[in-house]
Amino acid sequence: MAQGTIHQFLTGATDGDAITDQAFLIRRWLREAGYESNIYAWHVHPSVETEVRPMSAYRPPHRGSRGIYHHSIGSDVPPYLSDHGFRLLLIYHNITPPEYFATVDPFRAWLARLGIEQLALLRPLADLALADSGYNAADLTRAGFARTAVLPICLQAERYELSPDSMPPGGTNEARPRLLFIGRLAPNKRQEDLVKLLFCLRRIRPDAHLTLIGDRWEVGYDRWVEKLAAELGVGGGLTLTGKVAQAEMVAHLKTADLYVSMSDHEGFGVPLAESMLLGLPVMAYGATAVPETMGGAGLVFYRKEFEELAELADLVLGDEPLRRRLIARQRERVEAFLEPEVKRQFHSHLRDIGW
Amino acid sequence: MNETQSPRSADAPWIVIHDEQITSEELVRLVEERVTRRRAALGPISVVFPSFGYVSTYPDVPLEKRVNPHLYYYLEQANAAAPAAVEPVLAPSPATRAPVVGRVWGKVRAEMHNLVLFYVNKSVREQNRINADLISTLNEMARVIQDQQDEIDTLRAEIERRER
Repeated sequence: MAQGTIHQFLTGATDGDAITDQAFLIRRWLREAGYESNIYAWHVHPSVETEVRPMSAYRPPHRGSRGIYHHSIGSDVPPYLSDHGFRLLLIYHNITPPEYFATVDPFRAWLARLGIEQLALLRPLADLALADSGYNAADLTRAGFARTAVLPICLQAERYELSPDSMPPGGTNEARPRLLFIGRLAPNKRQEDLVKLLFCLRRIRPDAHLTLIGDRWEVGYDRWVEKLAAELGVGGGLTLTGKVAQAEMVAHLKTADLYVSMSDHEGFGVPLAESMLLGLPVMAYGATAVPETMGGAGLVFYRKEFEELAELADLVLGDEPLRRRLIARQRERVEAFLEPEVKRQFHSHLRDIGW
Repeated sequence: MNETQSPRSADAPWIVIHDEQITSEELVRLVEERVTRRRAALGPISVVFPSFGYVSTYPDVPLEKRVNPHLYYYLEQANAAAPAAVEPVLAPSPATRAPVVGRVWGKVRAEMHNLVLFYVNKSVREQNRINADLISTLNEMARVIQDQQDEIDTLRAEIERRER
């Protein structure tokens, strides 16, 4: 039986983006539940243009239409939704603080500031505001949203199934141990601190290798990280892959020895959950939402003492029983981010607001 | 944007593990022991790690202690100058208020504006970065000069004291 229409709206949609992936999943859940549901975005990357429609193609039927809006940066979408009197289920994915870009990318810093200001525009439209984490939900409470809840990012286990023979050639290399981090090359992700860790770890394990997967942003941070590695004499142990396809990313996650995050700002940290799912031990700096996502699993540290962290990494790499216990606890933790549980929560939230 | 983590007490272990075989405290101790042994075997790490985007702030020294008032005056001016903004400013005009056509014109104008911003932003952010690096370097140099001056003053005083 038709349940009516709930479309989703995004600022930008592209392949391999966590927000776009979540929108695809929610569209499937809505369609399975009998809703008519499409995804519209202001900027549509060619990689998803068969799946996502441009905002210009959207014709709002009447004021008071229901919609889901994913908010993560300032854009023209919130004023559009406000002008057309939408009733929204807001999904807030956090906004990277503008200070991280103030000197390197003033336009991005402005977009971040705009995104924070636009929360005030979205507040009266929202029947409910969902956040990926309690950390993000606190932003919404501070911005005056009356009704908030947490809906974690959902992992679709089947997207991480990869037989060994489907490993992409050149996706991995033989150097051991292999440390991995996934995230766009950006100052808040602090890939430079991973290079410093690599420098210290190579005193203990000279063949240690660090692979950084992620979009090489245009701010020049990627070049700075490469230059630092070269200056420290560990350039040969560093690989920047750029953005990779899902299969290649899964191959890296399955063949790495340790996932390490030094990120100073994460609204959720999808790769932390992905590592936990795929049995890769995690060492993560306990900033922002990271301790919440880890939920007591893995190793969380609160000081960036690189020599000490290199010893910690060496310990995890060399102590097989400890490694097995870490992986077991991580597998328990990641259950909370798998589809059955998150889908149940999503439908429960829809029912709560009478949609 | 926020700092909502529950505050950690100062004496809480800085590495946290939930494990049936080893506590966080034991893990921290084990790691620190390993560092001590490693330093004994390989020597200490003497490298200074730079940080991306590190900014040395204005060295605000009391007026009477300043090594050169002009240095501080102009340095303060440079620090006070905000980075060039590239925010789109699209104020409504009579043309954009016209019915139907105004909306279309507004959209065209916004697109043109965004296109210009795309290119201007690249150049501005590069210049902003250079400015920030230069000002930061000058701040750091002023700090070093001031420290050296303070040291010279102390040594002079000591020489005078001994000569008396």
